[in-house]
Amino acid sequence: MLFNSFTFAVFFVFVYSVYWLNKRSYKRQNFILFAASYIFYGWWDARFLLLLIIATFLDYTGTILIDRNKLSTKQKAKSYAFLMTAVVIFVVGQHIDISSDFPFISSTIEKNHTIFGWWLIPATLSFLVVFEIIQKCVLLFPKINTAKFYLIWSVGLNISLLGIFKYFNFFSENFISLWTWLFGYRPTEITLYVVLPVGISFYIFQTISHIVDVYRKKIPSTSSLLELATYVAFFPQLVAGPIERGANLLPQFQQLRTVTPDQKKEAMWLIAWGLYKKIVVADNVAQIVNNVFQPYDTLMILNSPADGLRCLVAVYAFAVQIYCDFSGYTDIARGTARLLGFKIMLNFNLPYFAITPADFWRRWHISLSSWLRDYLYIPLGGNRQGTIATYRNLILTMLLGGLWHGASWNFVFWGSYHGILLICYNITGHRGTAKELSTANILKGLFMFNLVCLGWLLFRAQNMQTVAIFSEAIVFNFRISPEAIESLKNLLYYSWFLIGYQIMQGVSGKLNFVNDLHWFLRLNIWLFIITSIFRLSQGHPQEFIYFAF
Amino acid sequence: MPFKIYKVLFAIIYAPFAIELIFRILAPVPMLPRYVTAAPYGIRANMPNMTYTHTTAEYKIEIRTNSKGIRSDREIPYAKQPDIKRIVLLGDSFGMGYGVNLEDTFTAHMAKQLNQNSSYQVEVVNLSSSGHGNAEELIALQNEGLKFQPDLVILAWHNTDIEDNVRSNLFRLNQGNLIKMSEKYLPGVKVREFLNQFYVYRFLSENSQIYNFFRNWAGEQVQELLVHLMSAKKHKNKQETQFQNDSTSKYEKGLTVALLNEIKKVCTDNNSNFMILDIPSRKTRTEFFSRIPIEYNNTDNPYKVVSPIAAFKEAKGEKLYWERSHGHFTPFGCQIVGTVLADFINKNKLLESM
Repeated sequence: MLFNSFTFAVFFVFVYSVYWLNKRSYKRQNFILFAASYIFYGWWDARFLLLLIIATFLDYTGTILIDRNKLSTKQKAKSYAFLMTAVVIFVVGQHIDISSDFPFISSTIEKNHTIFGWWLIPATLSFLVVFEIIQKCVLLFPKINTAKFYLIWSVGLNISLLGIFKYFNFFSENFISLWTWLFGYRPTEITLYVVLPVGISFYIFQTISHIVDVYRKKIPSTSSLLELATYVAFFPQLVAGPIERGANLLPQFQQLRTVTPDQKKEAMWLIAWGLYKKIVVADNVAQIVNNVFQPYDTLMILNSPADGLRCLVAVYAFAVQIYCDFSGYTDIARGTARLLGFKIMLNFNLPYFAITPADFWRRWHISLSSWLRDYLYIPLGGNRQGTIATYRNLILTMLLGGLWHGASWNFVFWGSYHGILLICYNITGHRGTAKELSTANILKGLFMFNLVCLGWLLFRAQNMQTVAIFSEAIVFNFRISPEAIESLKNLLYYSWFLIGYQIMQGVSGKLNFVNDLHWFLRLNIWLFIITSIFRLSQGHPQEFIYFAF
Repeated sequence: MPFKIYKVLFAIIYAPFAIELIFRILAPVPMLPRYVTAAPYGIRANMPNMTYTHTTAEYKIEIRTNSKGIRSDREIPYAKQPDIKRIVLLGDSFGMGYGVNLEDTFTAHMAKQLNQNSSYQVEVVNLSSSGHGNAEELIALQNEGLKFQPDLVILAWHNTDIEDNVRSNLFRLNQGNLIKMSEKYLPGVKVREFLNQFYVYRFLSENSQIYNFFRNWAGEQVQELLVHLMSAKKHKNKQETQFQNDSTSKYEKGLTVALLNEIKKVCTDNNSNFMILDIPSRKTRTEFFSRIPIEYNNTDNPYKVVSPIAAFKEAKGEKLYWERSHGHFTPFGCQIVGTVLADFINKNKLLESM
């Protein structure tokens, strides 16, 4: 279910109405949100829910065991029943009628996928028995640091889930290539035909952060499975973030919620502005990008285009597209959450106004960059172990940050490229943010924007040949063609209001400066936004880029 | 509090004007009102004696119809003068000349060229009406076209005809035979006739961006909903759907060919020549395609068909179709089509008696 679809509008109006009819009981509201979130996620493919349930189970049992050493009988009963019921429904459901023509997970012999399905029941039972034995054994050895043990257990299993569903084939293929290169023969290929579940990287990272926060005693574990399951599956931010921390979001499930008229206004604006960014800017600008990139994506063309300007415009257009696509989603997520009485974190803060790489990462996908900082960079040692170690940590963090986006070498190169940028700016002592509007800062910002765009070329290109071809065209074949001018005109046509709006945000220092404007001006801006959404829509709702991550 | 109410009232009154202005500045909506009425023979025909405008971001043109609903500035009697050669054109909005003024239509260009250096006067009777498929064209020919005693009947075939022929359900194929299924196909005509009585409606459909936008949007939503409902039904049985898809595609083509055969037969029986103008659709400014289900390059092909694709390609990227509305021909596109038609008619001596 896409935020930019009519289906979601109907769904949200229904959920919103039922939700606020139960405003006297936050527990009932949690249940409504839980059910709505599972419907929302299951809309893509009901079988994806099993992964969400496994992640919830690991988070719930893991955090309680970290916090309290053992699970109570009630907690066990709830969590085991939750997992087993889901597995049984999944397996039986697969046998009744999966309806889709693609199995959720299958061996290379597709016919056997249903047999694999039946195995899940005994496999899950065996897992629970082993889990039970582990819990008993751990208690027998008082010297074991149980919190650390369960931290490794639950984080390890979460990462395994991500590894299997997102990275297995990538690592398998590259392992085989390496083996063939080293030993001269090709080992038997193992390929899993796995569909990448929507948003898996987001909710797995969210559960990991929660587990680690409980381990670090930042928040206590929760005994309420419903609260935790709703926190993991909270539909506004489930499939494309922000990656929320337990410390911020979980307590909001444990209290009554209220929304003031001003908050409602702000929420409505966030939703409208998010839809504008996605539908009007990102979806239309995507055509400019795809017109240039697509022939190279499939290696249909291998020669350098004669007009480098068109390639440059396509790269700039992609910078606009990815920003509007992703930040648009976040704005809608924050707006819908706000209407339900939740406050979720800011994920973008004028990232193209950054003057250094460090500044950029403080403004772009803030929930991921702060996650990487708190759960990877700092545990690796951060900048406390000398210059070389700091650079190593930066490269490692950014490389993994790149790989988080997808199992592909271009993301690894993109991450590494940003790591190198961070190091270069570190060496020259440029780590700050722009505190005032000056010519020097504008020039620094423009230079940084172009560096970021070079990164977007690595990110968007499906192969390294395309990167080489585009770079060659931009540097050595920089010619102006009527098509390039047309692309540039289209880019400006769709993004002029966004650019103006962002400049106003930057100059005023307020992300929501519209609230301070005269009501007549606000009325005109609202009319412009709504009219544009309807008039300049592509007709059919387009998927968000970050769903693929 | 009263100030708030004033603000709300002001916003309600102000919003439509502001939105209209935003539409006009931001991205004007094509305003192409269609004035059709129910012909006595059960299909749509152009309303007689109408004058109205079509406005898009790229052009503004005027459409005028005579007392018979033909897009023409003069009356055309059924009786034919001896020194006149008559061409009856059957077609949809392309044939009718949407997108260009009367003097720029391809029929005008064709007539002008045919009249040069000839001993006779060519008169075009354009029976095209927006939305027509081949089934309606056959009925129009039988009930109206033949009254004009045409020397030549041109059918302006367009890619939408295949679906239109099935959708109208006027004819069906039964074991290869064309069977008349219904006497009437008048989608939305009653509603339009009712609404067209009102000046406000006519004004809005010719002048209001908001009205045209929401009418188009609502139409698209309804169509999508119907497609969605039909595909949901089909998905109940995948294998059956597969079978239906294959057979429907063959069926659609078969129905179109049968209708073209019937039109040709009607022409032959009435001593008129018959030819088809294959109107292509645009992929890009230099790429065009047609879905006509006839292999007309074969020597044993029974039809006389002409396509402007080769001439269009020679235009090397010139604007032949309007690009920001419903994709009809530009005046230049019409000029090429008119020339191609005139050349083809002359070359094949189609205005000489059978």
